Amino acid sequence: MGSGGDTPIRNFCIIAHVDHGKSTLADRILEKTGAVPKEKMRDQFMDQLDIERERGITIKAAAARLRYRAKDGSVFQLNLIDTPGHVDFSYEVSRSLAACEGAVLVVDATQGVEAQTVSNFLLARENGLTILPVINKCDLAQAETSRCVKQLKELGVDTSHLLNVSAKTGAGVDELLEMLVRVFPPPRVPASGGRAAGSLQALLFDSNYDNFRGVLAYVRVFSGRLRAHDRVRLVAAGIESVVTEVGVFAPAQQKVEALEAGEVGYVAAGWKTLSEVDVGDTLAQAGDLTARTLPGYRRIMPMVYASLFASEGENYDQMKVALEKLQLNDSALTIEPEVSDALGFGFKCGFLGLLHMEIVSERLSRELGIETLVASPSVVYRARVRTATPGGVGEWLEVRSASELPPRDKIEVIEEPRIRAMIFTPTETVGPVMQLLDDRRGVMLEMNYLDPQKVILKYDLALSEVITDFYDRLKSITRGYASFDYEPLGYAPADMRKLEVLLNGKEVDALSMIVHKDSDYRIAKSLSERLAAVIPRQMFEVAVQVASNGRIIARETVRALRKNVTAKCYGGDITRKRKLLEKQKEGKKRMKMIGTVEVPKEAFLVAMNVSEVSSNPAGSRSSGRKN
Amino acid sequence: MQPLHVYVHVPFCVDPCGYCDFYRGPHRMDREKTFVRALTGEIKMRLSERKRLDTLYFGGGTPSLLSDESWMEIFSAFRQHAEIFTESEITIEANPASITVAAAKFWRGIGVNRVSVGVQSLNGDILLYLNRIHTSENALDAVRILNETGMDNVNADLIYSIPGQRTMDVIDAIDRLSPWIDHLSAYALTIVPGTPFARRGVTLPDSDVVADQYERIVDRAAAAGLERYEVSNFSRHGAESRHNLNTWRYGACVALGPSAAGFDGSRRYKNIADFLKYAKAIQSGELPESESEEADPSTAFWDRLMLGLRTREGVRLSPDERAGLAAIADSAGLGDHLEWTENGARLKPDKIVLLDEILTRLRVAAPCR
Repeated sequence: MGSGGDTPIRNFCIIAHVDHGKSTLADRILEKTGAVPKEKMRDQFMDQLDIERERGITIKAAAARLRYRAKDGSVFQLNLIDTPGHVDFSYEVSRSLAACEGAVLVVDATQGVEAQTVSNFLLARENGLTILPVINKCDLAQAETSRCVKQLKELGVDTSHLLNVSAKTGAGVDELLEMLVRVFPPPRVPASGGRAAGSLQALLFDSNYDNFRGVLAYVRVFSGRLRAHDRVRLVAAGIESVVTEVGVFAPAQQKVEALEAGEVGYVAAGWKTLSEVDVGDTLAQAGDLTARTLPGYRRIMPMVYASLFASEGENYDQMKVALEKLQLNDSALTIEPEVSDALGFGFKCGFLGLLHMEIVSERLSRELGIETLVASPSVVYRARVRTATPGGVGEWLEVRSASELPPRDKIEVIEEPRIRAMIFTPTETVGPVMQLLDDRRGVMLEMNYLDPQKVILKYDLALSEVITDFYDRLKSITRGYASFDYEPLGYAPADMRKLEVLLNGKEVDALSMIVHKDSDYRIAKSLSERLAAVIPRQMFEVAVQVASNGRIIARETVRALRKNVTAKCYGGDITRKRKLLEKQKEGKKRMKMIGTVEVPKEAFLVAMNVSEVSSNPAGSRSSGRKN
Repeated sequence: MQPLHVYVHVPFCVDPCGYCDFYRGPHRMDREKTFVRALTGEIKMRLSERKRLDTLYFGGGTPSLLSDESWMEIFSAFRQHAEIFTESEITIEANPASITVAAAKFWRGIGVNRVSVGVQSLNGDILLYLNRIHTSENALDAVRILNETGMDNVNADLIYSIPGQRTMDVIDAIDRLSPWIDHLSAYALTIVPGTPFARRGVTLPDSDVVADQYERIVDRAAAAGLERYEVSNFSRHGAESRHNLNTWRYGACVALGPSAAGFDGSRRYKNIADFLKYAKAIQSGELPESESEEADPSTAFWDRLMLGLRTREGVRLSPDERAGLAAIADSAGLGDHLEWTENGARLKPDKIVLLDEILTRLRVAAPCR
């Protein structure tokens, strides 16, 4: 396949709520355009990882160059850019969208408009894309096509070219291809901004790591041309290097001589790590000092931190290698070593969100056979500390766990990350959903009816209230019908407290946590009860106390052990008895001594909200995340 | 010459108890003959020099099932290979149902002077629950007969911490038995994996309930003149079991019979726990052992503590060992749980009940070996 030349180009993506059929539709398009022969077609070709296919979530965007001959005989180069399908990756989605001129907006005829339909639509509109709505699964008996059309209109989607398709059977896909080359505009050229016409500007919308070539950056060339041996510069990162290879996705990687303006492909330029190559950065000629980044670039920052530990301590090294390998293809993942009293050596990892966190630990167990423990998920708080000199400007500190919190008297203010949450829910469940949002310190921003059956709630919510069991609760009170999406809303002051656990008066640092003042009593009570349940009875009474900002607000007592002696110990019992004591000794050795109190590992797990990630992604924990 | 302590395991029962994990099989006359022949063979093997017999203990199983002829044969073998005196403590374990005046007189006649009776309970429902073949009347008759036959020492075994058992049942049993007995063993029911009780998923009462029962038992036994001298053993003054004291003092003991465990002062062995394989080994002139281990000094030290601290007298220690243990106890925060004697240490009486917890704490605090 040659490069563009005079062949007209259409760059587009498919956007949809999870499970509305995006990947299946992409498969049909690949098949119809002959990019992938039918017999080689695996389901959901563009989702490269098993885990993506199984969970129906696209994690890593991919691209495909297709050749399409329209009914009138004209030939088009189509670049289909796949987008990640989840809230956690909305920045990456937005960069993929920025590489396109058109978006096919897929709505499941049986489900109607959902939260991510809206957020994807808004993102696409923000990026100036032409939107072609498509109602999928029209072949199903439960399809409610006209209701979907009404909902789309209500959203403000232009439905004048709307199509009905079945990605599964392929019905309507020919019409879709014909329509999209008509309605999607040809590649746009950004305003020159006083720079020489034809100077290189290419948007990095994704990247991948290859053992031989290093980082492969996926690019959309907006202007100029990108050739092998060019000396190029990453504008935001300021890194210069020489292009070693350019190519296109046919959909398999295929080397080409150059990528022309409007084209989509990949570049290798000797970059060693993903941290050099930020999604959203712009590639320019090295000598072009006037080059600026294309609009929309920002550095992505972790929103959620959690500690990952190997469930078998000796797997630490293996886990380190595995995490570093994952990081090669996941620039959003940050890792740093951590030591826990209870769990040994592990890593404090930063994630874009909860789903991202789950995917990482699942991939550890799936691809590398390492079972992981996920501990203490926490958001990043900000604390302004008092200056030594009165009236000075306080310094902001990032706080990722209770142990990083400065002393109380040094803190002027604590701020927490907030999100703008969008929840779609059936009308009859609005009451319980609003109650849940209320419990989670939500502030209602808007409430709209999409149609008589469906309500859109927009809330300002604390991110910390969402990272524990929010999705699961939401799913359970709406019997799975609600959908949820969010975007960061910046920081806002919050009355956060430090909860400390004391065992017989001695503070246990590893058990402290940051909670909001409205929930400190509830959490303290539950924490002290759960701790008292897992701390074994000892030779003396153990007081389990929980203090909020230094004041005891909950107490439980573990009564003293009164009897522990083997009834019989005669000649025949000695060896067995000795082995038993040996085992008990090993058990005790694994306990952590807090003063004279023996604290088992489980106690730390209780406080850290630890979940053991099983290698079964269809389990209850993940089911809530798909919509 | 060191006095001799001998244990004999008799591997037969009429109908096994649900909680028992000792090696035993059904009792038949041909099997008894095979056993006696093998046992006399093992006596020859293991008692090579004629030593002064201090204690001889027949446990089981149910030794009282053995016929008079078997007893004669066994005792004649012992008399050939050891010196038996009137002071020798010779114990047999007996099921209450098999104790008659005639049997008691016969045992006394061949030299048995201590009988340990598996009473377990005097409550009919509990006896049924335990799958015992005797009644409470059998048991009371048994201890009275033995007492009146002139046994030097009559022991009754009782079990507590049985699901559904009332503390009053145990207390009442102590009261009714105490006029006839010199020695009492009261064991907390333990669920051993592999036993019918374990398979049935029997769950024990709450540990606080068990602790209460135990306290009541210790008090009531003392009131009846039976003082605790080991975790589960009580006796009148001077009526302690010398055989068992020897074990708790880390003394050597020759063990005979299938599955029996013996100790020569440094080596522990266990006989094959299979009746026929055991008999076959002896027939071919081999020691019928399945396990053997030589204790290293650290294992020996902790074994001595594990055994000695069970008793009222405590453990004998060298001055160095005593200082070492004191340091470990201090670092474990247990200094106030021990009492230091002239030549050793013992647990304070109210702490014996926590022995296992104390031992593991001491072991964790002990410097690495």
